[in-house]
Amino acid sequence: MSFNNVPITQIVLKQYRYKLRAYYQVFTSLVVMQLLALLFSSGGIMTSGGGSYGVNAHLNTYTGDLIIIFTFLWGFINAITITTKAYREDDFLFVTNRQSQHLSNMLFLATASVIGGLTATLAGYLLRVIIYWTSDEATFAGMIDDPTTFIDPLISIVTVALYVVMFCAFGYLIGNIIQLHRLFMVIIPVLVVGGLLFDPPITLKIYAFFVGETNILLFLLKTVVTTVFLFACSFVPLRQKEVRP
Amino acid sequence: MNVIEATDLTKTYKGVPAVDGLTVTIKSDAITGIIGRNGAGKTTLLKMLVGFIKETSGEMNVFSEHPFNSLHVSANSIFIDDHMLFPDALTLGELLKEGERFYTNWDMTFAKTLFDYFSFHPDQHHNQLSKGKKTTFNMIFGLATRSELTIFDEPTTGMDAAVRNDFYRVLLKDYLAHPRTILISSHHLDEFDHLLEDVLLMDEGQQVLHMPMDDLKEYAVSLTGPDAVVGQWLYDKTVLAKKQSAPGMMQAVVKQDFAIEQAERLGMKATPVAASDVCIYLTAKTKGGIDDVL
Amino acid sequence: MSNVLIGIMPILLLLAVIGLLFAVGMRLLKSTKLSGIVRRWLFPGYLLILVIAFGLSFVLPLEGDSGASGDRTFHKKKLPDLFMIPQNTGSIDMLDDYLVNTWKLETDEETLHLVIRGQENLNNIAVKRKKAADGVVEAELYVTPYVIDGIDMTTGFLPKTHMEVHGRTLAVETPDRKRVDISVFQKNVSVRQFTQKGWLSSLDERGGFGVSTSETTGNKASSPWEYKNNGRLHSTELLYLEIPADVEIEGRNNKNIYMVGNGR
Repeated sequence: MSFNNVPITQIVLKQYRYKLRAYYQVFTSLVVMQLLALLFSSGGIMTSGGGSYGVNAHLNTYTGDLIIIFTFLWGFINAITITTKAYREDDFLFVTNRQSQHLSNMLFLATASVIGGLTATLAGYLLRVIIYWTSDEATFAGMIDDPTTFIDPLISIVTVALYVVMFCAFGYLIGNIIQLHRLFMVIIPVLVVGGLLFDPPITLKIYAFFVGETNILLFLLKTVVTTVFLFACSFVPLRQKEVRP
Repeated sequence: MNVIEATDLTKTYKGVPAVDGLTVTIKSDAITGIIGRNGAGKTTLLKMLVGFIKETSGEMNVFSEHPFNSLHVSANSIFIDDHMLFPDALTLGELLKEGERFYTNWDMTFAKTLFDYFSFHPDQHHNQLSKGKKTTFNMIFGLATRSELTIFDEPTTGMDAAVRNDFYRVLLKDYLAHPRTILISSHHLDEFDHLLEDVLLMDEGQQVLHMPMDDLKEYAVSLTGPDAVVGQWLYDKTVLAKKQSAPGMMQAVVKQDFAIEQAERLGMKATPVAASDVCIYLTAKTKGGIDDVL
Repeated sequence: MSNVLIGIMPILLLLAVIGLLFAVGMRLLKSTKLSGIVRRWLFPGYLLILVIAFGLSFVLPLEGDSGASGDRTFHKKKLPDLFMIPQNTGSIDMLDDYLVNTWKLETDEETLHLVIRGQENLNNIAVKRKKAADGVVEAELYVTPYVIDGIDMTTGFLPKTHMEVHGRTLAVETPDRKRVDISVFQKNVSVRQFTQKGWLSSLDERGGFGVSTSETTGNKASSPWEYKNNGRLHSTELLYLEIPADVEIEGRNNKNIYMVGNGR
């Protein structure tokens, strides 16, 4: 007998490369999501205004915020998607076990998050160019924050990628829990809405914990630790998951 | 050497056993048929062997490892049936390339030759194929992996007769060129008994018999004679089936643990029983079959 | 409880709509025959466009402080309050920057009846009697800009105000309100989080942690200046009339009219 002896790292890398090819629609859906967000953003995210002598003034503020939020949503949905039966069982056509499957999924989601962060950031610049070209020069007032620096896109890419990977880890956990039992499809939304109703709102605390963090290194620490924790939890239901039972 | 060793293996679904205390060993480099009626536990056993599902109790080793979550077992085994899900995003050509990347023994020339012979197109997608085409592609994929343990679960479902014959020929040729352990499950032994070296007959999650094909062919004999003679003869024999063949005449299938000459001397006519019929008799639910129920 | 529910309803609805659009979009992508090509090239094409846009964004004058787009940034920290200044100081010397219109109207009547027509109301009319009886009414309209988020919303967009003398009537025709839309950019939330001062300070109070950063603003009611508050400055307007020494003005709405200088 001639056995294939394969170290797990090699299999994980093979699966990772396979997933980049086979889960191509993940990136197609990213484009769809961000184009939708661009469309919604082109009307101005925030409008403030008021009347004065002879003029009813509206200040339309354009930001890439909605694109970023849509990208979070994309990450969350996709992470759930790759825990579904069809995706999970695809892996078992080829060489895999549940550890290598989990590791390659994490690698894939991390890569997707970086791509999400990159495209969401750049799409913000695309929005600016579009708005510049479609608006009248007289009514165009440019950037109200400090001038853009070259470090800005870098901060944005890193931050969005960290947020997205955290959303992915969260979606991945939820997806794996749902795979455990269908009933969780009902229980989890109930818990989330319950969390919103709680007083003081837990969701607000969580929101402030991440969004309120203005030190980028602490933010990095918070998100990375959370992501690792969520991914670790996801492996518990996945470890004993049977294929095509 | 034994590729598979299982002791008191049990798998239950919601309390109902699918495989029930099975103890079996399967030797390497042989084609073994897993035969049984629907719901005999064949598929459950095979899925446990490749680590898809986990046994409820008992012990099991494949290549001396517990298959569930074993990378070694996964790298050296393949499970082929008509429910295989291939990713929609990849074309058939790309799927073969992925197979090559994952399975180190993959034979691309072999895969391509069959791919062309069965007139597949590399740009097709698996979900666009007809049922028969799907199973054919799955078969090509499975054989091309050259896995040390290759498992076909009801491989010919949906194939037409010509493709089915092609499949058996390909399987045998490939096995002769690259001997390995091949398991084929089916509910009837009829058309591929010439391939098999061993037969494992299962019923209700348990092993009914496990023996070389040659022994199975001589396992039982059919005796025909007058009622009284046959009736008396059967007294201390293991009867698999019996029926009234004509008024006053009885036909009985019995386990062949005696010398046929003795029976012939008493005026009974002995005819051999095909291996597939033996399997049917051994796993029949009631002695009389469906006629007795209705 | 129900408040919170009502509060999150729009978000849930929005999410539902997004999900639906997304599903429809993906279904369309899947069903079309050219989906193979679309699927292959959609993402790389999108990336290419993004990179080009990114490059362009550094070439185009998109920043608030550069090129034509910079003109709308309002740098001053305060504006004179036109309701206050003439009354307090009796002079309009400091208002030259905000002059939008002047009229010189001749009259030989002794009494002029001031009539304001049109949509806008002139909240503030100051009248000064000249020393000479030269038969000329000199009128000046001052409007300070309306500023939101440090952006001048009105300069250059003010519609014309008309004024004329018709016998004994001094008529002011105020303009219809005109809608002005100004576009500005704000940096992405992912950048603002780490660069904006006072980021999420309002949330701090509600969440009950951190230090509140809200500042108290003193009472400036009597000040002739209006100070920028949260980047906002209100617009005030003033019609300043200099009338010949021998002319009397009577208005319908007397409380908006007051005499300044060496008048009563």
